[in-house]
Amino acid sequence: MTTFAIQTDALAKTYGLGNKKVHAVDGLNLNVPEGSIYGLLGRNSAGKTTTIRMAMGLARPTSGEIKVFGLNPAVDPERVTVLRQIGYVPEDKMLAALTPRKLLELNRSFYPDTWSDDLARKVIKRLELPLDTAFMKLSLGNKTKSALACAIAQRSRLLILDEPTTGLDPIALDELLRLLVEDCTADGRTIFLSTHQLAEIEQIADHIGIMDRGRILLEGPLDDIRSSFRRLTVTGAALPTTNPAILSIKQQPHATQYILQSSPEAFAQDLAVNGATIVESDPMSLNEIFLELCRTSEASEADREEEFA
Amino acid sequence: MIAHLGLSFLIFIFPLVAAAVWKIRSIQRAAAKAERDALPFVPTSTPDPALLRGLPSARRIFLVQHLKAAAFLYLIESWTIAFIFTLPLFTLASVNSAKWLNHSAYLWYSFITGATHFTQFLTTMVLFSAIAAIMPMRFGPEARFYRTRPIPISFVFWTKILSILFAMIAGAVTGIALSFALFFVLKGPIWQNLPAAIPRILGPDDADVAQLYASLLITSAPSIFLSIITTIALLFSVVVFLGSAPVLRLKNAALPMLMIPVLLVPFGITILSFNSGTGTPQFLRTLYIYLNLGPPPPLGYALIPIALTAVFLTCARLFANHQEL
Repeated sequence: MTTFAIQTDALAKTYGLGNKKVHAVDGLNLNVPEGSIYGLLGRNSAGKTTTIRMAMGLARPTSGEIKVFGLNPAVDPERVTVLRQIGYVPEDKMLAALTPRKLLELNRSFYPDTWSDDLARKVIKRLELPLDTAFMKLSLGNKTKSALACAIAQRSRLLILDEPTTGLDPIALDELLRLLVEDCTADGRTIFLSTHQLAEIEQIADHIGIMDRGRILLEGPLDDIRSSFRRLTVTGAALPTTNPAILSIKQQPHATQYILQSSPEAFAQDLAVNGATIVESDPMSLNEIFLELCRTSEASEADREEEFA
Repeated sequence: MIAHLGLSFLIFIFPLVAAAVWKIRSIQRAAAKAERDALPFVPTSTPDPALLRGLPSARRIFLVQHLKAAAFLYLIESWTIAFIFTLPLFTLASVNSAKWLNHSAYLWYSFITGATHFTQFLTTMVLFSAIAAIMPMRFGPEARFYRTRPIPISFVFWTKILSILFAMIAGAVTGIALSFALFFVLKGPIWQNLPAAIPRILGPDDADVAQLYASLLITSAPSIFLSIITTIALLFSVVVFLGSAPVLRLKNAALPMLMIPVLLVPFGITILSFNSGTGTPQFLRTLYIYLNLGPPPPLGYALIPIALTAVFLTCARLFANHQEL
C-alpha cells in the first residue's frame, strides 16, 4: 500500500476580499508518495509556493485539507512533529541574517537526532559554500547553498525545496542534483521540489505534478506520463476531433497534429483502422508536455471566461 | 544650567556609544578573522546554564539567545532610568530651591516629578521594545526561520514576549533603585526631611510653590514606582496585542497597519499627560497610571492593569496561532 508524505484534499487558499479575491490554490488534490522524488511544476503564480507554505504551516487553508505524514502541519503539537521531519528551503532563501557557519550551527541544534556534521561538510565542499562571509555580502547563489546545506544535513524524512536552483551556476546545479540523488533518497526519504527547471527535474524526479491556476493538471509517475503522451502527425479524411485521449489538435497545411494524453497506441490503431495515415509518431519531452498542458489549460480557461461573460 | 545639562547628557551617552562601538568593532574583527582563517565546519557545543538542561536543545538555544538580548535591554534601560531619575542631582542650582525654603523638599520634588514626567520616555521605550518583540514573529526571515523549526509557537511567543517584558520591568526597578540609592548616598534621607505642612512664610506670590508643596506632601513615591511597573506591562501588552491582531495582517499591507500602535500609544499618552492639568484624569487613575503629583490611586486599582495585561497577552498568544508568514 502506498503511503504519502504529503496529501491534499480539495485544498484551497484565497487571499483578499470581494472582487479582489485571488484563488492562489483552488481545489488542489495532490498525492506525494513516500520515498519519491516529486517535482511540482507550474508557471509563475500557479500556486506552488502557497501549497508549500501550507505544507510548512506558514499559511492556513481557506478550505480543504493538507496532511504531511498524515498530520496537520498548521496546529501544535502535530505541527512540531511534522517540522521535526522536514528539511525546508524557502523560495526567497532568507533563513536568517547569519553567516552560513552560524546558520548551520543554529539549525543543527534543532535536529539533534538526525543532523549529520559529515553530510554538512560534504555539501559545503561540493557546493563550495563560503562559511564565514557575512550574510549581507553573500550572493544569491551562496544564500541558496546555505539554505540547501542546512536542509540536506538535517537528513529529514521529507525534504521540501521551493525553487532550489535559484542563483546556482551550472556546476553547482549539477552537484546539487547529484547530492539529492546520492544522499537524500536513502531509507525511503522523500524529496518534494517545485521548480521551473524542467530539464533538471526530468533527470532526477520519478513523480511529477503539473499545476496551473491553483489546480493540478496532471500527476503521476514520470515514466507513465512520458508513455501516455505522444505527438501524432496524421493525414486522411474524417479524422476524429473529440476523444478522451486527445489533449489538443493543430491543423497543419497538409496534415493534422494530435497531442495525445493517454493510450496513444489504441488511438493510433483506431486511426489506422479508419483509413488514416500516421506520418509521424513522436514521444514528448517533459518540457513539451508541460507547455502543451499549460496552453490547453489557458485556452479552456479563456473559453470558460468568455462563456461566463 | 545648560552647561550642566550638556555635561550630564555626555555622562549618559558616552558609556552607551562606547559600548556600541566596542561591540561593533569586536564583531567586525571576529568576522574578518573567521573569513581569513577559513576553518572547516566543526561545531562545538557550548555549555548551557544548569537551569535549562531539562529543556530540549532547540528550546534551550532559543531561550539562551533571547535571554542574552533581554540582558542587553535590561542594562540599557537600567542605565537610562537611573540617569533620568538622578538628573536633578546634577542640574539643580541651589538658587532654584531658595523659594522652597527647604532644600530637601525641592530635591524630593524634582526626583518625584522626574518620575512622573518619565511617562513620555517610558511610552516610547515600551513601544519600540514591544515592536522589537512582535515584529520578528510576524515578518521577515527570522519569523519564517523559527516558524519552520520544530518548536511550539507558544514557546516562541512567550520566550520573546516575556523575556523583553521582564527585562523592561527589571530594568525599571533597577534604575529606580540605583537612583534612589544615589540620592541617599549624596543627599541623605531627604524624604524624611520634608516639612509636615506648607510653610506659613509663603506669601500670596508663592501660590504655585504652595500648591506644589501641598501636592508633594500627599504624593506617594511607592505608588508612583508601582505605577511605572504596571504601566510598562499595560502599554507593552497593548502594543503586542495590536501588533498580533489578525485584522492588521492584510496581504502586502501588514507593515503600514503596524503604524497604528506606533502612532496611537505614544501620542495618546503624551496628549493625555499634557492635558491632565495638575491631577491625573480619573480613567487613567483607574488604570493605575499616576502621571502627576497628588493623591495616589487606590492600591487595588493596580490589579486592573495587571489583569488587562494578562488578557491582552493571552489574546495576542491566541492570534499568534493563526498568523500567516
